Amino acid sequence: MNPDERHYRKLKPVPPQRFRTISEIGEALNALGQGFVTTFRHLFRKPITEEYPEYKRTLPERSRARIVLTRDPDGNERCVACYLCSAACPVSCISMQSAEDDNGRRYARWFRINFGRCIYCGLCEEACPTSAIQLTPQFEHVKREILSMVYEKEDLLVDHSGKDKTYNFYRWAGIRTGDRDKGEHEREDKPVNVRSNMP
Amino acid sequence: MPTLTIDNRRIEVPEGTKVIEAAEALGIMIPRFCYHRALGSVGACRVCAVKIVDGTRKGVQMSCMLDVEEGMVVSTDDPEAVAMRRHVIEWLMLHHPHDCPVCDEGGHCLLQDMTVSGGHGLRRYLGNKRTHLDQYLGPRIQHEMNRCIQCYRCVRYYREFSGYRDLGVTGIGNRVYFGREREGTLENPFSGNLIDICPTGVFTDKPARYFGRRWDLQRGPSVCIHCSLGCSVTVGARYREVARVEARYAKAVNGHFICDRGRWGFPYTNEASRPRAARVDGEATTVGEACAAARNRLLHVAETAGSEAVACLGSERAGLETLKAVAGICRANGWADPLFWLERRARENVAAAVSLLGDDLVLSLRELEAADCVLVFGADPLGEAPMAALALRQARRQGAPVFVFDPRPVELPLDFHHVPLAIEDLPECIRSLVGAAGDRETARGADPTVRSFTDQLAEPSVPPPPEAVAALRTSRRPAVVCGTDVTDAAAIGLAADFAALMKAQGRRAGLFYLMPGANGFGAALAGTEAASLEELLPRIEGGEIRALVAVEADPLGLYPDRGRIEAAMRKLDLLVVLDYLDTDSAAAADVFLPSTTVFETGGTWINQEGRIQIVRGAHRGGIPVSQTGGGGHPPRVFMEEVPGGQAAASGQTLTRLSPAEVKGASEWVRLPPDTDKQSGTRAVLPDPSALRFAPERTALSGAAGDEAMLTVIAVDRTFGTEVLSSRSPWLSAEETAPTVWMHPEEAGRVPLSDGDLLEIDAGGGSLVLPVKIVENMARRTLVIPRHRDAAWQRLGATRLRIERDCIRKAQPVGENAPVKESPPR
Amino acid sequence: MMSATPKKEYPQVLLANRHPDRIATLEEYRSSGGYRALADTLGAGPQDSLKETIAAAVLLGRGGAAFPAGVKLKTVADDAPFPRFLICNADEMEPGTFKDRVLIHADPHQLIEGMALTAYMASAEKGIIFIRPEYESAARILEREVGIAREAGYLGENILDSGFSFDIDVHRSGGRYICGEVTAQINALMGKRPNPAQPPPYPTEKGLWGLPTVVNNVETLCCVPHILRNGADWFQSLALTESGAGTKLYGVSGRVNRPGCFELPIGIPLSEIIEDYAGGMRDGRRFKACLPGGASTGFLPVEHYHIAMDFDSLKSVGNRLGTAAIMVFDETDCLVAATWNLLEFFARESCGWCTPCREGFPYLRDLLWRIENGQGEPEMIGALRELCRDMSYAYCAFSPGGIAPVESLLDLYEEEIVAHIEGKGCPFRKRS
Repeated sequence: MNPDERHYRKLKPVPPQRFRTISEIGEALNALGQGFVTTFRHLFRKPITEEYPEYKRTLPERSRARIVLTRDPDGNERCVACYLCSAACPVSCISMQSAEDDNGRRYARWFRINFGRCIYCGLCEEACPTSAIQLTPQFEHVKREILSMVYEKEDLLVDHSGKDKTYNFYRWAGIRTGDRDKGEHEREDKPVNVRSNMP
Repeated sequence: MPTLTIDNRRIEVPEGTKVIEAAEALGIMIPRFCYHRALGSVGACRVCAVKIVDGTRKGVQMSCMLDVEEGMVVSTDDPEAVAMRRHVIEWLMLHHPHDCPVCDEGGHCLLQDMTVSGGHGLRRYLGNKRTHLDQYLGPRIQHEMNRCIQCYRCVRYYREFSGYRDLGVTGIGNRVYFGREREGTLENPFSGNLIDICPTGVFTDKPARYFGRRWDLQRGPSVCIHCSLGCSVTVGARYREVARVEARYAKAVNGHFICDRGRWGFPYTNEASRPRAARVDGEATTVGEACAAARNRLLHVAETAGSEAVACLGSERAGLETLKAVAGICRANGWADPLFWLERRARENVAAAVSLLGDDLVLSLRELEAADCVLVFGADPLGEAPMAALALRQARRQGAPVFVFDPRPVELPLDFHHVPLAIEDLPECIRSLVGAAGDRETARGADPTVRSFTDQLAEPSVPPPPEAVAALRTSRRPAVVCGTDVTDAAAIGLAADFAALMKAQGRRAGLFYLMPGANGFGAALAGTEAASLEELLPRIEGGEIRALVAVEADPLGLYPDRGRIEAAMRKLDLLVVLDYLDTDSAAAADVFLPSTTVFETGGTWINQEGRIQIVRGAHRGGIPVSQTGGGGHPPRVFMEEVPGGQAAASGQTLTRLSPAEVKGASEWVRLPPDTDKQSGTRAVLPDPSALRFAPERTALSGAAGDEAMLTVIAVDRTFGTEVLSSRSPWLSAEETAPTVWMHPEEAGRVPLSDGDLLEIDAGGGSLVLPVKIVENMARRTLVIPRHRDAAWQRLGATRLRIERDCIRKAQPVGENAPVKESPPR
Repeated sequence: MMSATPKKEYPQVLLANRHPDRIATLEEYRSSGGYRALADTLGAGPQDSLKETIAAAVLLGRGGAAFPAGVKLKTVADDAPFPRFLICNADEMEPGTFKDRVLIHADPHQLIEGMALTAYMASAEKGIIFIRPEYESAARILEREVGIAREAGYLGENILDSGFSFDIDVHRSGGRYICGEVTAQINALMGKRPNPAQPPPYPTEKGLWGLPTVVNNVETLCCVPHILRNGADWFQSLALTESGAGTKLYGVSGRVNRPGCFELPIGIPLSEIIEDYAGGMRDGRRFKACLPGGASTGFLPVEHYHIAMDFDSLKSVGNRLGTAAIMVFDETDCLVAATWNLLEFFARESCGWCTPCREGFPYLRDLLWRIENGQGEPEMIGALRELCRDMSYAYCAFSPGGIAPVESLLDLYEEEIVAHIEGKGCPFRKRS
């Protein structure tokens, strides 16, 4: 017997013509019955539906909803207003203006996200080089009044480090800020003394 | 013309082309850092490595250092060459700081582009990064030396190309440092180009610091309107504010660079004090109502006192569309002839220059660099049109001797011969040069007009400088540069005669005029029959002219006789002003209408060689968001109209004021049919042949030998005098109080020491200024800058003669110099 | 290890008048035949035949590059503009090299005569001795002796009534190894930064102030009077090999009993230099390797212990004679540490103009330091090879010279590097 024959033999035999209608009716009734039985069984099972808002499940940390601007472990704002999130955003919902404080630290003078446009894709979080902008699992911020969905920096800035508990961009950047001078950053040598011939 | 093959594509290029340029012509951008078209090839960075498969020098070579050869075969993607380029990127990134997010160069950084396209990602070097301390280099340039990749472009540009010495390189190995010996503002008035040429963020634009990323800016090509050279620029604006101006490559004009005046002269368009609302009798109102009010009042004046009682004044900073509208409205309504100039001498000078230039002699700024001998008559390039000084330097670097005949203490970034003669002696000096350098025999073979001109030349009282004569005799491409600011029509005409004579001798001579304002040429073309305000003033004072419409002009603030112009303005029944600056005239206007700037509506400007440049605006305009938001976040409103956006182009607004329809004002300006909208084409210049070699210029003019008289000239300086750029806080940040320049002999006659106060009784009043004694200037001359703090409007004219007893030492009062008086209304 | 046969005494040409504690005076130089070549040559024959003599003598440059001096002189065109310059490169900063100092302290007038003769052949009227600032005593000696020579009529206007005028200035460098590179030296003399300049044009066409300039090493110039006095054939006969010519100052240092500067014929076997003249290996140890010509040459392994020390035979084994400064290493020396030491020098002395050298040498130094100090990783060997490969495409000859020890370390002693990496430390340190 060749493999094709073996295969066809395993299939159910087609009944003769005069019995076909009866077997079809039988199959249909069987399928219906099975459906009813399954539903009937589920009637007495505990539902897995979670009744929101009476029950609020804790979402995973990586869930993408409301955006926040986090702080670094030293408590300073992480956002340096580099415009990368604004550039990455596919719906252009982020705008900001960067400025420099008295210590030489770049920060956002104002930072605005229009949550009416935001699609919570998380591309801004991926683009951010300082781990400042992060999406959190909090999704209950929608309102009807459209202008109230435009969040300013004071609405976005939180006082914790979000998902990245350790990164502090200014420890690595090599820029002179109030905390660190030239040569005091990670993996840096002291500044070259240009008035000396010593190596 | 050798033909070579690059990546299996053939191209034929001129002899002397480098492989990297040939590749660029094919559209293959070989990575480069130290190579720059204007600075040449030096082979320092080694990132332009390619593999020469066939040629005299085979193997991995640097494409910027190699001349093309016939039959050369080049491969840019050979694995060895790619590996070398990758390796160079890795080397450059060994010490580069991790600061792209906070670096302004991000988004237009050559290092970023090369690094990403070279595929460099992780730093495998385990050593530490070397760091540098930064220097304060002034209010315009930010220094961040950690980012340096040692391409040496900055010092090559600064020291070799532009000729200033205070920025240099110190140190050795990977500790080299690019900076000044001591901190302090860079002395170079072209230092802003460091921002453009630095491939990383070592030198960045300090006023535009942290403004925004380049990809967010509304950018557009534009033209600089701070002098008559018309350099090409690129404007970047965002949130209704012009953020920065960068140099744009223009092959025929400025090449790759612009001066600092053009780069940072733009704040006038963003100023909080910029008038945005229309005003009638001092009350703010809509533009429509103000236009109606102005139109009605103008009609009233025309009906009661005759249409010739209305005059319209444009200026040399306005675009051609505005000037067209000025001419058109005057013609359509039968008003007095349109005015474009304040002083008669300015009108005559520019009209003479434009009519004498000629297609046979005109030189572009780039062509000036190729001259082999340059004579500068009555011009201070660095003060009037800075990029011309840079062009003269390039000519000098090729060996061309440069001679400057000017009474001012002219400074140039090159070694040149300065003959500080009195301005009245200039025509005779040019005549003497014509006589001495003119080869009579060749001239005899020339045109009879030329012959009779050279024959009739009067003998000079002082022989011309022998070095100039010798240089001229052997030159093949002599260039004559002539100013129109402090000179007169005789000198301007003689400069053209001189150049034409050299041309007749078979040399490739050229003529280059510096003109006032950005559109002096356009104004001269527009107003061939017009007069100047100076010539019209008696009719205002006599009551014939009752109404004046000033369009992008400021007679009160700029007419050199303040007392007289104030009295005249008071006599007028109606003053209508259209402008974008809060000038004295705007404050005194009965009806004021706001205009847009070049950044908002663009326009057409004609530069000093007749090049027509048409540019669009870069942004819509209106009050900057930073002002409407008070510095905080922008207002949280939905709004359709733009705050402060009611202004329109002054030409358009002007036609709304016209009772009669203004039409077809374009016939009188001959634009060539194929005018290229982006890069500009030279206008067809008027035929000068009838005006050259005029017999009246062969005779001696009245010499300045009169010892009892002094000449006073009010001049343009690099910073602080040009109307628009003098409002820039970054250019005026380090201004010192203006002084009057005097020769030590003159000072000794008073007597005065450096820093003493000098009181001058001039045509328009008295003024007091501190004295600065300089050696390299003319005797019997006082030079005063047209600075807002210098009270130069009391002089009465921008060039005048006064008697020696009109000057004396003044006693210091509580303050240094009296401030200009406030406007009358 | 002393050899059994007594050492051969070779004729001393350059160091003939050498005293242990003072220079040879003008009189001593003259009585040994000095300034006779100058007297005979000036105004006698045409310069072309003199240049031919130098070329026929195959006088190769002794400053390290070994460029034929005769060929260099011939590249000064007859119609080249005036004034022309002759620069004596006394910037001797190649590590291990001290022969030029020895020559100046031994017989300064030999150098002066050599300069005058070479200047005559090039029709140069101005000579400059560019000397490193650390050689202050040599500089003062030269200034004094130049004055003495001038007074004796061998320098200045119309030397020996020949119509030829030539004078010498002694110029102390600001310091730095790169000033020894010819085009960088010319830049330094013009007050610019001593970055090299790639030819064309060559210095003999456009050098100092854009005028024809001949630059030669001290030792090369010192050979010139002898060649012109005794002939090219004589000079060739001094060498021990067919292709070599003349004598050479070999400066031996390192693990030998008697380091010093020895004038020996070109082509003398290395083993003879070390055993007969330098007193043999110290402490009875065995020869491991040497740098035959200063730090810019590669390691010469023990297989070539008897190699003839001349330019061609070293080139044939992939090495260079360079300045013939022989630095000897014995079996207890760690070549990784030695290479790192050399690279420390090159990293500091890189002029900073081109990227491969400026960044590559510190990178090499860092890798070798880590290998030597127990932080080596296997990938570092590949990284070292890549670096050497791409650093050969640098702007001037500094980089190819500086990587020569590293390349030879990778080619010949890779197992030593591997031992460092696998053993997480220097095996030689534990031994001693």
